[in-house]
Amino acid sequence: MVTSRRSQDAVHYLRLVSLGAAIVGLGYVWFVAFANDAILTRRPCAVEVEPLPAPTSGLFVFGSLASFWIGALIGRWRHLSGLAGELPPKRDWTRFVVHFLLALFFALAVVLLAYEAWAEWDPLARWPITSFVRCVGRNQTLYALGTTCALLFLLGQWLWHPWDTGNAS
Amino acid sequence: MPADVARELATGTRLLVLLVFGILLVLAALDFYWELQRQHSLGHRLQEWSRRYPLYGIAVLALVGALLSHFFWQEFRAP
Repeated sequence: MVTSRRSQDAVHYLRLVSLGAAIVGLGYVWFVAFANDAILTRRPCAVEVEPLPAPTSGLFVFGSLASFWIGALIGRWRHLSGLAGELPPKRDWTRFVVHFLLALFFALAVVLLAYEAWAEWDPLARWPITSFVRCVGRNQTLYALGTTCALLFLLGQWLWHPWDTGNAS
Repeated sequence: MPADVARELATGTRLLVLLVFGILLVLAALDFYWELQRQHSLGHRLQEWSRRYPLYGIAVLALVGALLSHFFWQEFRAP
């Protein structure tokens, strides 16, 4: 384990900058969706829309994979640097908040997937979520690409963080 | 685009973005706050959960991958 002060500082500031950039980017998209829905329908889009053609679709998939990998690498570096490694796990309000948000996120995922299955049953009667995402991909390709990469970057940091057995509790 | 179709498209996309990104933004903000304080990261905290339920962790990643390819992938077609 590399536990030098310089390594800890480097990954600390790298994470602050990258997390800050992801928050600002996602916050901007959230704000635009909240304040200006006209941007979402600037160009016509149909319910049976296909994914973007290659090679743009490849940019989405491989860009997402690369972002996930970079996020995982930074998470791994933080872990190996030993930053906060000496602190005992906290049993305060943050534990409850993380539990609550995770439960909320998974509940939302269940509802959205159930709706997706219901909508795919008869896509001409109601819009599947796939169509919404594909329409945003076609209408706002750069924003959609940036947002997808930012999301996967965050998931890479959060979900792919191998914990060595020495730290297992 | 007909007005009713545009309204449905805008409402659905808006709801999706506000709900999904809203939760992720709060989680990212918490992670930023903990990083500022040099506390354990959100990834570290999630590990407690995914170590307890490793199959759920794998299922979440598999679901994200499947959704991404479903939304965005289009195979090359012969011209």
